Amino acid sequence: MNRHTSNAPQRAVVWTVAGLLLLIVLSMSAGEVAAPVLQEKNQRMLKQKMALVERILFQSPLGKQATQQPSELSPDVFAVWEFARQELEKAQECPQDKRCEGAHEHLDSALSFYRQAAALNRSTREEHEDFAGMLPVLRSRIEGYQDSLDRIAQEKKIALPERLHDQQIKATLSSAELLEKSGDAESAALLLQALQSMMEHELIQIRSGETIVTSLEFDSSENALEYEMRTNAGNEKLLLLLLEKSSIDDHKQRLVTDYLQQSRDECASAMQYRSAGDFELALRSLEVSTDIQLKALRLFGIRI
Amino acid sequence: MKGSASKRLFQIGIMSILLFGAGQWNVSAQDKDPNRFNRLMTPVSERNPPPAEDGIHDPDNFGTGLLQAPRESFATLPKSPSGNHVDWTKALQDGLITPRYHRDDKDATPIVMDLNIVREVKGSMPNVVYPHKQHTELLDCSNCHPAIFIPQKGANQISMAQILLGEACGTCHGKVAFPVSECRRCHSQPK
Repeated sequence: MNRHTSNAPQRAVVWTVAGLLLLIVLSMSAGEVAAPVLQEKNQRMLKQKMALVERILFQSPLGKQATQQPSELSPDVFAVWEFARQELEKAQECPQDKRCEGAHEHLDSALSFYRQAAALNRSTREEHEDFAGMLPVLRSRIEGYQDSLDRIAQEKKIALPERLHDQQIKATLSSAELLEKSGDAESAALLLQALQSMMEHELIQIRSGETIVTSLEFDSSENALEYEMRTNAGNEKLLLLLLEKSSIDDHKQRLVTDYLQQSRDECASAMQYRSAGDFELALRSLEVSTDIQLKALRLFGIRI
Repeated sequence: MKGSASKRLFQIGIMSILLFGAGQWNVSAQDKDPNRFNRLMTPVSERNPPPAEDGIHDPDNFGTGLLQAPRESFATLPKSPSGNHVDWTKALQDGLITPRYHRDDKDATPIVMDLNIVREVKGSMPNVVYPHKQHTELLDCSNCHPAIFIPQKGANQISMAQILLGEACGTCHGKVAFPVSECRRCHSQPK
């Protein structure tokens, strides 16, 4: 054994360790490089935010009116807009070369004042339309929640709180209707929102921590068949969309078309059995149809 | 024999260091040279492109340039293997994001419902577990009920075809929530 051969394992270890150390040094220096990049990012974000707030304050319809025709705005609106403008000026005074927390706060204040000015500037008619538009949505939600609460109360054999009894809910809905008719859509909306909130909290309390299982055990073959028919229809819809929009080669296209025809034939047989009252046989035919559809879907790379 | 073994060890050591080091380097989106060193590794730089390049925002719009690039804002968030590669549920649980729940009231809290719905599925796929908790931490009841899902047991039939067509769960999943390529995230209850 010569001297070079006997030193080789040690040299290998030394080179490996040296390489690892080099890697560690490189990753540490990468970390140091990241710190100035982060500062630059913060400065850039501040600059972008400032540009955006400036654009909102001066380029929006309210901003243009405040700068070009201030006399057409009400004094209150102009005063609040002026506060927003002053906050923007304070933010712009912050030095650009440092991380300036104050600047962000001034910009947030500017936006907040602008929102208040915009809200004050809206006409009463616009506000009324907003609240009036909410009322049908709130009513339909309340009806849905009432349905759910009644069902759950029956299922669990529990009593709902008095404020959520049908009569109370009806009374609240009638009050809201009266308020709406008298022109006070805002109060009507607030009343219904409060009721909605109460119902949501009650639902959450009743159902909290539960697990509901939707089983695939149907109480009749007819129901099982209805379920399979909907699945089959959904698969066919997807296949037709994929045939239209997806690009596959001609061979696959022919295969898919064949499969589609086969599945339709099986589906037609299933419907015949269904008409004859044989739901079991209809279900089996339809399941065959669905299996063929799945083969076709796999040709598009969809495995469901 | 010993000499060739140590030589082999040395070669393996150097190759491991170089490959490991190469994996740490972030290849910029512009660097699509097919002969670049780590071209076989999926470049992280191609995920979540900036708003002007994402094909969604108008690159000529002034506002587009003011938007923060997703890559920057997502950098510190927990990773996910698909979608926009952020695990938003974990980010919320870990307190890394604090979404605002009301447009006007910054102190509003969400109405969280802790109710699991287990949907049995045909075949050997595990059953689906739908957790209301994780959804209601981000959404309001009215986002789904009753327009997308009737709030009644047995009233909603959901199939994978429907989801892929953008109905039912597919109203959000695959568009603004994680895509359906991660089967086990939903099909999580073994039979």
